[in-house]
Amino acid sequence: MSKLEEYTLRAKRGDKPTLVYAELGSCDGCSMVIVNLDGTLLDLNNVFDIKQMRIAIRGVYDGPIDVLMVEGAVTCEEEAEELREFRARADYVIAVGACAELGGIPGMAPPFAVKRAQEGKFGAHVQGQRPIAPRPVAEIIKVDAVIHGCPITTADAVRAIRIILAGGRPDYTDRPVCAECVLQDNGCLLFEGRACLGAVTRAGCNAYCPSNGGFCWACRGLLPDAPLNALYNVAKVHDIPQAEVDRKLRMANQRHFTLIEEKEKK
Amino acid sequence: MFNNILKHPLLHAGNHEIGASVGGSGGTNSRAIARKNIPMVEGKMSFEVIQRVDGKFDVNLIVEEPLRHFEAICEGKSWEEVPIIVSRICGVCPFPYALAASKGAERAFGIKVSDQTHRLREIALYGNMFNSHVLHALDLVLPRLLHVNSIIEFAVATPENTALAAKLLGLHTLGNDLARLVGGREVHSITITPGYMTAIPKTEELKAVRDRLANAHETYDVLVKVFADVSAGSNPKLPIREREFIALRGDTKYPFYGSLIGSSKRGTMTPEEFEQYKHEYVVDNSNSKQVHTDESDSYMVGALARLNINSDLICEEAKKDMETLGLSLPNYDPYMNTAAQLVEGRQVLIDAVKAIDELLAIGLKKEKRPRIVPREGYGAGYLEAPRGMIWHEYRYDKNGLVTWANCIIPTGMNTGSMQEDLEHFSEHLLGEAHASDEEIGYDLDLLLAHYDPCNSCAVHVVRLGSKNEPKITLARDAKVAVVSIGNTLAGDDAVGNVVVEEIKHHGVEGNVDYIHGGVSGLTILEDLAAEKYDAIYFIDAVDGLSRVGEVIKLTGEELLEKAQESEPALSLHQGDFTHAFRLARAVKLEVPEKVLFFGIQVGQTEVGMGLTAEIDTHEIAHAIIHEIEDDLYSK
Repeated sequence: MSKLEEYTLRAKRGDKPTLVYAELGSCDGCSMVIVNLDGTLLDLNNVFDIKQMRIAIRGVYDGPIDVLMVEGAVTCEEEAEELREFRARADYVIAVGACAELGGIPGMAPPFAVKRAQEGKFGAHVQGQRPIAPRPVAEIIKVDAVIHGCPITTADAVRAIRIILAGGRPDYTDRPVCAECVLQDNGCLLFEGRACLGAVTRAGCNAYCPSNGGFCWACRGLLPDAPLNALYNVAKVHDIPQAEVDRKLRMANQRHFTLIEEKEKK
Repeated sequence: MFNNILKHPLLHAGNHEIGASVGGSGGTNSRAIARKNIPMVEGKMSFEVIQRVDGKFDVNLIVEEPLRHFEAICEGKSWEEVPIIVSRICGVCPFPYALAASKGAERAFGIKVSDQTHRLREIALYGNMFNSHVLHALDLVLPRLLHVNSIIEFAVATPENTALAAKLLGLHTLGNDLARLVGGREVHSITITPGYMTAIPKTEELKAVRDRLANAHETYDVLVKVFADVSAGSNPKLPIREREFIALRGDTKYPFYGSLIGSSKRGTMTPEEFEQYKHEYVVDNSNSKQVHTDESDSYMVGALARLNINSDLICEEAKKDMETLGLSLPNYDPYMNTAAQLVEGRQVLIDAVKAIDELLAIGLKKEKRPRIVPREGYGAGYLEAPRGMIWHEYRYDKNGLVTWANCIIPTGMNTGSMQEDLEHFSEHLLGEAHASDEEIGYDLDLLLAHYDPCNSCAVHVVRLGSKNEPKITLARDAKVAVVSIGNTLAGDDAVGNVVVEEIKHHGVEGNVDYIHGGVSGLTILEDLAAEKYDAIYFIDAVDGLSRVGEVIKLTGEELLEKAQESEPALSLHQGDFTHAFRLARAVKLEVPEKVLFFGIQVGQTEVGMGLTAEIDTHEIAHAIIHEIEDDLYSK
């Protein structure tokens, strides 16, 4: 029986699929996108039995989970344990947003700061909490799907939920942001001497930042085989230092580069 | 499991008798009320109130949201990246973060933004403010007051509820639409950056949202009425403690985006004065910094603070809401903070329309990206966020990269106030014999919810070891050692011993041991480490200062730094003592973070008893006692 058939059958019995929204180390911005759906939040409630979502709902749930959405990076051992426990009960796991998918902004935490936290040298911290270098959810548990972005877009969230309800796996374009940026009639920021990462970043956002005058900082993740050298070369032509490009590459994707560097060391 | 209230280590620690079922009535004479991972607030926060067998209370507010290191992350990032990064401190109120960081860079680089940019930023902030306030009142507090588990549960209960909820959620959408139109996106603005707005709204779109704001009053009346009805009688009738409020102080209009800072105790201040007036510190078992002022151990920021500070600037329409909601000023009741947010929501509807009208009358012009020339320096950016005042400060190098960042955020400021309120109200609530644990837990949960805490924002304690770190203040029962280094038989070298004797004679307040450390460095450090002191103060004879009897005060790090660069040696016992100190760090002896070193300039150090006449040990001892007590306890 397909997921669609199963969910339809269960819905007929008044047994909606259960949804748990877990929040790890993050700003709760992606939860806000979901909560900001306003009317749509009620629609979400029509198709799911939303069992747990700390920012909007009181109550905890320890039963089986049909869909688990996880927002945020894993920042301490306690969160990793929670995640494993959730995974054991969850049928389908979605990593929501750049923190959960890539490590995101929390992933930028410098090693010295993490080390200090581990040594308890912050002068104060919650007893027993064991901080780790913030990392994506997929480094801890198997993830079935992702929703890209910092924050996620409403369109992506709704689309992903529809596809998952139908038993599918949301997929995303492998085109760069530039491909969508030109369609928006934007001038190229690189030509203005601004470090913009659209050329190496997964599209799907309609080049939202460049269209609003901001540079792309790869919040939807780097493309497979991202042409970094090509980007460096174009940047060089326009007097953009490579250090600046590298710094911006390490905003949402710091963890990606840390892992590469660790691998190279070995 | 998220909400396992028994899991918290604190509940197992200590000697208190704790009932087996936390939240139910406990052991013989003790009571424990705890809420772990409070739902419907942003981020992870818990509290526990333990009434001990001896009748005393232990009250703990624990900000458990794991550390997020934002201040460390900012270091080495450019002025242009930092607003994007710190915006991710908070997804509920991201605009003030981006604005504070942008303003910080502008102050440091001497940039003045255009009048249009200033106006657009203010309008964007109105959008975020309105959205956040409505969200809090409607989605987070109303369900609590109705004893339902979410706004969804309320909405689906009856068709009337569904219609009502849809109508009220429309207000939320309105705030979002305004924020998105001007800020580029409702969560995490794109347009807010140092120097200008990267994109400006289309005139017709701004007109359309202006009309929606102007027409929202009727729906807003419904929200205020519903909240007033539901919240009537919800506040526990308890004595209210007076407190200090801090908020921006407006001159002609209600200020979210202003320049002067008001305190209910100190009056109006410039930012420079405020910078000296506030002091950050860290507390045990919480991932949030706290802040106190010269006047108070804690203070409150947020909507209630703003109303109190700016009571003469509230519009007539909002004053009507105050009547409906039963809010009169001055008002010190934290349970009224959500009502205060609703009053501000009305103020925003009025002021946002006014601001848009003024801007439209001037006309919108596309702005070119200004050339930003960074320079080395310091800049603080501050404004009002929905949850209260936000203060960011940054130092930049000549390339515009951040070398040091400090983000003081509303919830960090409020945690001290929340803790004090928890203590205050628990004592009264637990004093009422008939109140059940469930009822008390509910009332305290509601107290914290009214503060609208945003715990993800609160958790980035700066690293210690930096000169700019917040001062650590120890509890009065902390274990302290005052240790002399020096040889009693070698003239002025004995000055440490003599001064410690003097200090001992007068006494430093607290649990203090006075120790003669002799001249052998490592042995004494080993002994000290074994005792696990919370703070150690060394008193030593030094050479290299300008006059005999002069005293130098150094932190542990500074001592090591000085020892490396000073030639001839600074401490007369440098060879052994500073070496030992370094060794101690290297072998990870438990040297406390709080170490100070007082060096006294000597005259002669020939063998023989007695000090040079110029050294007034009495005066030095008093000066050092003052320094130690100040370091230990003063905030």
